[in-house]
Amino acid sequence: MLQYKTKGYRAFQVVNTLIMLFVIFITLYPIIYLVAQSFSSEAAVSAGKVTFYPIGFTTATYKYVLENGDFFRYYWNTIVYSVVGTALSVTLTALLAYPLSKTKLRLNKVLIPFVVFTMYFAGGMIPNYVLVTQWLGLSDSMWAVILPPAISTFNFLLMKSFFAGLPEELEEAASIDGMGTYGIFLKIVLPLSKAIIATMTLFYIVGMWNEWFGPFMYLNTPSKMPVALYVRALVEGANQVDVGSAAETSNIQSTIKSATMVLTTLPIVCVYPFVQKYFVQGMTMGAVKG
Amino acid sequence: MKRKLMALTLATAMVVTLGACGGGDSSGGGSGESGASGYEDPADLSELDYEFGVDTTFHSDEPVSYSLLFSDHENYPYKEDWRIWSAIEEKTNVTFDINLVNRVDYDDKTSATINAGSAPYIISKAYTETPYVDGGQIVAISDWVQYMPNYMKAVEDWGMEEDLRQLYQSDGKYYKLPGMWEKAAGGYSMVIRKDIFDAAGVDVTELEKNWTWDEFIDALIKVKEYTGADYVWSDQFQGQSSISISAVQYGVTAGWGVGNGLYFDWDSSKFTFADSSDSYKEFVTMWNRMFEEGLLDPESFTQDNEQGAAKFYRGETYVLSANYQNVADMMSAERMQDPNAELYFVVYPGGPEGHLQVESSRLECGLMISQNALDELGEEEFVKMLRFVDWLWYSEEGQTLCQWGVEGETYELDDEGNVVLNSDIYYNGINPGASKQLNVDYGFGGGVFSYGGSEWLRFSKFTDAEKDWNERIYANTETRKLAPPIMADEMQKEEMNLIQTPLIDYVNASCLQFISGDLDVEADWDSYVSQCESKGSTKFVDMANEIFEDTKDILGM
Repeated sequence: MLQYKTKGYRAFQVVNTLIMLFVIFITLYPIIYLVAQSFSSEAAVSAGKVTFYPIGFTTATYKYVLENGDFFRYYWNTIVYSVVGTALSVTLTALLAYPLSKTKLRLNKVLIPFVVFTMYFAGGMIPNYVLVTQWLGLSDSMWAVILPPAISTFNFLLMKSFFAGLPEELEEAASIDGMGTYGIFLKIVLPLSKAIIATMTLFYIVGMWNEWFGPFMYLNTPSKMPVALYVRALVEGANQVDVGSAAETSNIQSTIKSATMVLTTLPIVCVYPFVQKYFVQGMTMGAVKG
Repeated sequence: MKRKLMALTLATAMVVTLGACGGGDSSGGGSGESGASGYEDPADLSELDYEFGVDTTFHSDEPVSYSLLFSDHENYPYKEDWRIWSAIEEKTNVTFDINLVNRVDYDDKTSATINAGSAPYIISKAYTETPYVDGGQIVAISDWVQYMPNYMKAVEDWGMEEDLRQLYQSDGKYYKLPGMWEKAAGGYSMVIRKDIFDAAGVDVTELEKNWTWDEFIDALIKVKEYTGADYVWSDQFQGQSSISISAVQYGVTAGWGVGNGLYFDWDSSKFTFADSSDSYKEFVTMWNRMFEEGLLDPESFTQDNEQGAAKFYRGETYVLSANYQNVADMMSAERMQDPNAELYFVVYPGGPEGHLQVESSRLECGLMISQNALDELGEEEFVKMLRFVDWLWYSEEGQTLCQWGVEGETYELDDEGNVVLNSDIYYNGINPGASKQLNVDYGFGGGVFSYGGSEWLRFSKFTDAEKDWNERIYANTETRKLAPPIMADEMQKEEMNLIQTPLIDYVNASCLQFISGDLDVEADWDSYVSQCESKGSTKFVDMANEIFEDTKDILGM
C-alpha cells in the first residue's frame, strides 16, 4: 500500500482528477447551456448573454411548449414507435444472432457475410423509398418507421459475440436433460443474457427515439409524425434561409427550441442510470470475443 | 471456379445497373409529347360539372379532392382545423389530400416522390424543376396553360412573357407554374444602427440615394473611428447575402447568387465568364479593403446566423445583413439590448455597373404538376384540376383569400379598397401584440398558397416601414434586364455540370481567400484566372454561347 502514498502517485491523482473534471465539464456543458437557455428570457438568449445559468429567469417558455397540443401528439407517437420498435428489434436481433453464433452450423459462413454486407452497402434513398412504399405497401404506416431499421448489423454482431461467449457446456447439459433448441434459448441463454439485452434495448430505444429520417420519408399524415421530426424542423429551420423576394426566415424563439429539446431529451437521459450496470457489462463482454 | 462465378455475377450486376442508369430516359420525356393534348372543351360550357373563368369563382358540382405536397413551415406549423381549408372548400367544393413535409427536408422528399413515380398531383413551393424535367414525371405545363384563364390574363396584363422565358427548357417548354408578381420587390439588404451612424456623422438617408460600396466602406470607417469597435460588421448568413447583392453591382456573381458564374452581355448578345473578369478583380479588391480596414469580422464567413445577430443585438456591431422580415422581428421582439437603438434598413449600395435593383425577377418559386395527375385523372378531369389551381393561385379572388382570409371574418376593406386586418390578428408586423396570428391560427398568408399577385396585393401586406423601404429601392435603383436561360438538353446539362461544379467550388473558395487576404489580389490574380481556365471556364462559356445560338429563336431573340 505504501506506493500509493508516493508523491508521484498523488500528483498523478491530482492531474487525473483535473483531466476528468475537464472531460465531465465539456460533456455536461452543452446540456447545462441548453437548460439555462430554456429558462432564460428571449432577449438575453438572442443577445448571447446566457452561458451557465438562466438570465431573466422564466418558466413561461415551458408553459408555452406544454400548452401546444401537437407537441404531445408527436411525443405520444415517439413513445409508441420506440416501445414497439425496440421490442421488435431486440426480439428479431436475438433470434438472428443466436443461431448465427453457433460455429457448428455450416451455413453461417455464407449467412454472416450476407448480413455484414448490409453494414457497408445500402441501396440508396430512392430504391429504399420505392421498396417500402410501393413494393411493401407500407406508405404512411407505423411499420414503415419500425421495420426497415429493425435489425442493426452492428447490434447483431455485438449480440452474436455475446452469445458465442456463453459456455457451451450449459447448453449441452440442458440438451442432455432433454431440452429442445427453443427451450435452451428461452430458458438458459436469454436469462444469462440480461446484460446484452439491456444494452441492445438502450441502443435501439435511443435510435428509435431520435429517428427522423424514416418518418420523414415514409409518413405523410401530420398526426403520425414523431417528436424528432418536430424538433428537427425547429432547429434546422433556424439555419434554413430561403432566397427569394418572399423568403420567410425562421422566427422561432431560441428559448422555445431549447425547452423543446430539453423536454424531448429528458426521458431518454433518465433511462441511462437504470441500465448503467448492464450497459458496461454488455459492451465489454461482447467485445472480448470480438 | 468460385472466384470466376463471383466475377461473372458482379460483372452482370454492373452491366444491368449501368444499363438501367443510361436507359432511364428512353421512355421518360413522354410528358412533353403527351401534354400537347387535343383536349377541347364542350361547345356548351354548362355541360362541364364545374364553373370557372376570369371573373367566376371556380366551383365543382361534386366534392373533389386533390393530393398536395405541402411544405410545412416551423413558424406556422400545419393544423387540420385551419380556416383556410374550410374557406377553400366552401368556395370551390375542393379539399386537399395533404402530404406533409418539413420545409427543411422538402427538396429530398420532392425528389424521392417524383423519382419513385408516386408524387402527389400538385407539388407546391417548388424552387427548381430542372432536375425532374428529363424524368417524365412532371407535366410540361406550358402545353396546358391555355386552359387557365386567370393565369393567361396575368401573363398578358403584366407582360410576363419575358420573365417566363427564364423557365424554358431545351424542348422550348416549361414545367413549372411560377408565382408571378406584377412588380418585383423585397429581398435582402443591410440593417444598420442609425443612431450610431448619425452620431458618427454619417447621414445614411442622404448617402443611400446614390452610394457605392466604396462609399459604404468610407461610412463604416467613420463609424469605426467614432465607436472604437473592433469590427463594425459581423455578418449572418455566412456573408452569402452581402457578397451576393454586392456582386450584382459589379456585374459578377458570388455568394448565394453565384449560379454558374456567367454574365450576359446584351451589347454582344454573348455570355462571358464573369468571375474571372476585371470586374471580379475590382469586386474582391473592394471586399478585401473592407477586411483590411478592420470593418468586417472574419468570423462572418463561418459563424452561425445567431452568433452574428447576437453581436448586433448586444451593440458590439452596427451593421447586419437581413431581409425586412428579420428587421420587423428585431423590432417586434425587442431584441436590441440598447433601448435607444434606432434601426434603419438601408438601400444597398451600387457599384461600377450602376445602382441596380437586386431583386429583378418577378417570378417566385411555383407549382409542379405531377404526371400522375394526368394519367390518373384523364384529360378532362386534369383540366378541371388545372382550373381550380388557376383560380386559387392566379385569380385575384383566390390570391386575396389565401393572403388575407375571409372578408368580414379576418379582414375588412376600407372605403378606398385597402385591406384592414382585424385588430386582434397579427401578420408581418401589422397589429403587433395582437392575440392571434393570421398564418399560425388561420393558415392564411402562408408560403404554400400565398405568393404572387398584383402590386396592390403585394403592398397590402407591407407595413408602412416596409413600403417605405421598397419605395426607396424603386426611387434610387434601376431595374436590370434578365439574362436569357441556357436551354441545355440532358446531355449538355450533364456536360456543363461536370465543369460547373468544380469550377464554381474553386471560385467560391478563392473569393473568400481574396477577401480575407489569404490570396493577394495583385500577386495571385493571374494564377487564379489561369486556374479557372484550366477548370474549363472557357469551354463552359463556349458551350453556353453555342446553346444560346441554337435556341435563341425559341426565345424570340
